[in-house]
Amino acid sequence: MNEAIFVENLSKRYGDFEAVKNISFNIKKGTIFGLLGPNGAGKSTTIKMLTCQFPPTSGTAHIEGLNTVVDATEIKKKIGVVFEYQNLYEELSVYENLNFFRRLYSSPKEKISEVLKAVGMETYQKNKIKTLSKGMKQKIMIARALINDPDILFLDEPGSGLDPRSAREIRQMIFDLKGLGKTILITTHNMGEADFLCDCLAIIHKGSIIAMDTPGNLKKKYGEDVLRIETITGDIYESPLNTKSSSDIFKKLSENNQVFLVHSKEATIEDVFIKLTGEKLTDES
Amino acid sequence: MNLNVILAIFRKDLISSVKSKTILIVLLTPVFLSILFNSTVSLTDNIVVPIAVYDGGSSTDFVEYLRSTGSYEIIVTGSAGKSEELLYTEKVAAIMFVPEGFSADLENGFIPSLNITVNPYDAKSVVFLQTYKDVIMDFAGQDYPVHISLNTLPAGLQSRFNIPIWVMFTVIFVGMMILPNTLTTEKEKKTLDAILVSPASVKDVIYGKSFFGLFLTIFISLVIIFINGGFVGNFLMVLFFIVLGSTAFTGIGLLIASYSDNYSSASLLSTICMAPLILPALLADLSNEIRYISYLVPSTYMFNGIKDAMLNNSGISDLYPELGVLFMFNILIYALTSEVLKKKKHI
Repeated sequence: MNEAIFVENLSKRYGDFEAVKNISFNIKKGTIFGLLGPNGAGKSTTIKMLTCQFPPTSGTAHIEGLNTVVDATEIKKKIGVVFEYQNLYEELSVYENLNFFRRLYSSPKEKISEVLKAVGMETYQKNKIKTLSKGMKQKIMIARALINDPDILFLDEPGSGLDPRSAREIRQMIFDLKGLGKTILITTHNMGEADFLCDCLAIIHKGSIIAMDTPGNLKKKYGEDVLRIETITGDIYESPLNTKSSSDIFKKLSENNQVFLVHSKEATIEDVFIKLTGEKLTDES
Repeated sequence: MNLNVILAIFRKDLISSVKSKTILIVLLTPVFLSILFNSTVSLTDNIVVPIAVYDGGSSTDFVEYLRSTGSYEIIVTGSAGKSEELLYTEKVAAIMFVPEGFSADLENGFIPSLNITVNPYDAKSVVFLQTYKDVIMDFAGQDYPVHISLNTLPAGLQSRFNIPIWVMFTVIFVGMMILPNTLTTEKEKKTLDAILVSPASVKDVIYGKSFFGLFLTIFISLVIIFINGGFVGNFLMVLFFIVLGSTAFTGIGLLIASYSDNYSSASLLSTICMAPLILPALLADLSNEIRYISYLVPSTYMFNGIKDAMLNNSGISDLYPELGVLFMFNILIYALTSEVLKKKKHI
């Protein structure tokens, strides 16, 4: 079995509101899968169903072949979760926080220093959580998710609200975890993060997956590379690359000696998102 | 049920409660109150009551006699009005108007009048009311018709009578205040989510927290019993009542926690529920109505059970009614709690 996560027609309904609508996807072992969408798109609800926090209204999900409703206890031993909010015990030290969760999983004591080393926080064992910066707390959240040496990690908006430096460190950390063979499901509304990290990306909008592929293929399929010409007067002309209109514009401007700068611009995930949804996605970082 | 998980939650809560100053203060409140109350009781032996005396004339010897007892701080006033002013401004606990010729009348075998007014809201007036008749009889040279030998219990023994009150207070306080607060804080700070994505189940969390509550109750009760010299009577039975009471009030605490989403609503709900559970048990002897009401609250049975086991050395056969009611209450409250949790599908 090459699939770590298998999701089929998963839905979640709260009264009349359908937060997640009939989504299906599967995630290969050792890859990073991204759920990209704005706030309220259904990303966190999907993660909550996959991490057995609540059952789906319909559909099924399997983690390493185990059903999320029937085999919740077994699944919980195999997964690690980083929440979108920082839910650590503020009054306790880093060590005490990790030691508590280590005990919940019956992991060996040595695991604490191992995970702290993995996130570069081994010198902060005695510090109280409330004295740490937001970026440091996020690293401890990742350390906590690793305390049971999980095969699968669920990261809900891991870079959200962090300064650019911390966000970059967290991104690198996630990339390193993939190198260790972990399967990672990440939700984000940060397109740079999604593009950089994910092997496969699902764009989720109003509870439904509207596109799913590698970031490169998504850009190829839905985005357009653009020819960008700046004139000596400062005007900018953009036109789809390798089309008649782009060559016409270039020809006309160069004949009049108006061209100052010419370059091509690659399609971005944001372009893909806008094209598919007609909406802009807020990028916090 | 996962014992490792339950112990981990218990251990974490214990460390948190020691580190959190608020919880520590709340926990130690019954202990401090019992110490404070006992020291207040022993202090009443040495209280000097301030009283204002207006001597209408020729009774200086009576005023001096009052002063010589050492029980009163005498303020002699020049008029009845001045004495009243001192009473109304709470400078004295009582005033005494001595009529003209009071001492001479007593000496001649007459029965003169003495006008006394006390401020019942001044705690010291209690001491005055307990002593003034004896002092006046002594001054008049009169004796009681019988010889009374009045003894009070040694100070160490007196405090033991308050133990059931403080233990009941502790059991209710921890079960209904600390437990809901630790649970709702986990909900509010969303640390509960992190626990519940681990192998810990909702049941494990409830067992862990309840075990923590039970441990705290027993530990603080033992501290109170130790401080007040209460290791007397049927101690095992006392302990049994503490455990039964603790599980019952922990059940109520869990109900409160399941209906509260945050710390402040849990505190409010706990405070509202606590008074009707504590007061009837304490005030049952004041009137028949209160006694009937007290039969409806479980704290009465715990209070009476602890009191009888400790002070009367009562055994299990003497305490069947109290034990029976507490058992029934435990079954009822846990049936209700599990039904509510099932319906709500979360804590």
